[in-house]
Amino acid sequence: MLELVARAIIAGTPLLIASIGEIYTERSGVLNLGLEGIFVLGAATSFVTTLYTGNAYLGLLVGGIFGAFIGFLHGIVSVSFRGRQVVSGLALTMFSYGLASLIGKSEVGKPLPTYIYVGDIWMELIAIEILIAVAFWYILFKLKLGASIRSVGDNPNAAEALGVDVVKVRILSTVFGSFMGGVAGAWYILGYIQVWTEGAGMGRGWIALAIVIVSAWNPLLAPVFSFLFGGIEAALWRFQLPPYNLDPYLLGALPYLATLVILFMFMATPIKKYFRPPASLGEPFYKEERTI
Amino acid sequence: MKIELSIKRRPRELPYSNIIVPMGSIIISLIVSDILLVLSGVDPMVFFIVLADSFLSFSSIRYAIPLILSGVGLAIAYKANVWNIGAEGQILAGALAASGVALFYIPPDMNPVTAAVVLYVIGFSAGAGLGLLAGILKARFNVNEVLSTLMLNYILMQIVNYLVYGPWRGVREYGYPRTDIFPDNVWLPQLIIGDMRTTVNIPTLAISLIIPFLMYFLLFKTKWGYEIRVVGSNPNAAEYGGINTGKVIALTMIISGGLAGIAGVGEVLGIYRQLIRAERVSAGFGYTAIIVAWLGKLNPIGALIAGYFIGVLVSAGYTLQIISRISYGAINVVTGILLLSLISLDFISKYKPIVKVVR
Repeated sequence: MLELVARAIIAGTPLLIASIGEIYTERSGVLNLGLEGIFVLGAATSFVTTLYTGNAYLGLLVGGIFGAFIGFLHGIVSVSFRGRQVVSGLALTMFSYGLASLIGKSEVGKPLPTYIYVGDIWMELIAIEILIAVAFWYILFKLKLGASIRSVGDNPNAAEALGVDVVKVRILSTVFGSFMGGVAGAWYILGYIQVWTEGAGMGRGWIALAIVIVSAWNPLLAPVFSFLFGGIEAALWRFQLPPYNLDPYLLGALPYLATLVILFMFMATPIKKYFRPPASLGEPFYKEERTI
Repeated sequence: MKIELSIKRRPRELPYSNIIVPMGSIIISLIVSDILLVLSGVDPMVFFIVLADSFLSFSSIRYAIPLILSGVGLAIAYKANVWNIGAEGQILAGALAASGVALFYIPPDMNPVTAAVVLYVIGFSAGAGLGLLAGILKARFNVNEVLSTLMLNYILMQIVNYLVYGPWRGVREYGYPRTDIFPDNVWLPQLIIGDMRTTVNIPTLAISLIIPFLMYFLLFKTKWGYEIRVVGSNPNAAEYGGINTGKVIALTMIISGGLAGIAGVGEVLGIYRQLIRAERVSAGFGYTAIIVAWLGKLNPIGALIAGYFIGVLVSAGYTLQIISRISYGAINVVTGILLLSLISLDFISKYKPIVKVVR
């Protein structure tokens, strides 16, 4: 049982990192569906970096930088160019899938020289992660920086009138969230599965996007759902073995089914009224239209 | 001194932007992709030679068929601002339902034409049903359709794999993860040129050529189409105008899901003649079809042309995989940049960037 908890924490960590980043992005009014691709790209680039340099922390950083780069593109296309956020995000996910495949292809399955080993310190890991979640909650809800981010996501016109540079805040929040997404993908490889195959990490970004919704765009709730999904993943692995011997494919559908059911439960019940998305989420900001 | 960048809506779109935007995006994406391929060690001309070769190959048409069917459906959904990302799962639903019925319920002496009609209807219904599920979740409970359709993609994928590895695994397939070959009265006939057999199946090709025109008619000449367009362009006006938004969401999900379902029927009955691993049945067509819809500017006839072009690209991707070390996944680079350039150029055709130097 304790082992299962430890595994849940370790499997949930990348989800937590990615969902906290995306909470910041979405709070600023930008929906980044590129997160899925960023996660996969972060996994591939960190793997290759660590393979060549032998430094796992450099791997984390490089994964984050590639993520930030994709986030910057999303910012330019969807914030500056007012492209539809859904389309821009999907395009960047496809692009990142392709880039990850180009970058990692020749290194498939090579053993990593070093990992980030957290198996022994999972209790400390929980404490650290909860502290991180609290810190990000504090920044978002108690500091002026967080107030600017939330204001451009709720009412960009009012924010602009009060002197907040909406375009800048949105792009920077997207870049930050994407950096976290890249680090999350990197952590997934370096701290959890420890080997890269083509497509490693696919699907995790979508789950992180769902975690953002059911956490009500609040960093404090993100650990709860990240560890829940981490737990489902860890349990799947356990239930394939004797004495359970459940079918791996049916079990594989479970995280996605759970996501769907949890989304449904939150949207179809009275809990819904506590889960208000940022008012301008997904809406482009038209600055010059006011002055005409 | 400070440089200020601002933008201004053009009084009207740049002339010929309907042609320039897609063509420009294609050119940009091909150039950027070629640069990335060169960086990964592929000869710069190889990509273009392979692409030129693919333009007149039957394999491009074979890939264009599912892409056109799914892409036209998605264009209808996106026109109503309904973000169906679930064509991949809806293709699988169609393939799965048609395979099940073909294996267990179609009598071997049934007339092939009757069997084909029955199976197309079954496949359409399965895809439409899956689409409608996400549509109801969205219309009734406001569950984000991007996430619900994505989740259903993964769920369908796992169910298909469970079946081909488990209960439906063929007894004559030496343990490979696939069902037995379907009885030959459900096979869809393939195009034969001279003595060369192609992988293009005639009935699904015919459907994919007719559907875009039917859907064009539906979208631009009927009341339903009018409602779809109003909900997409101005949801507030739709509400005040008495249009039932929920109905439009359900309708577009049924159409897009159903057409993807037909694409799935074509894959299993027209090409493989058995149900195989999910990754090979849908093969990412459902995601690639999103680009088909946008490249065709959300116009069903545009999607027909775009579907052929993307079919060429997919076919070139497979060839490239064979002749170089590049994996097929790399083709995502091209499609991703293509979609990104499309929406960026679309912006430039509607807005004018103004650079001002302020002292």
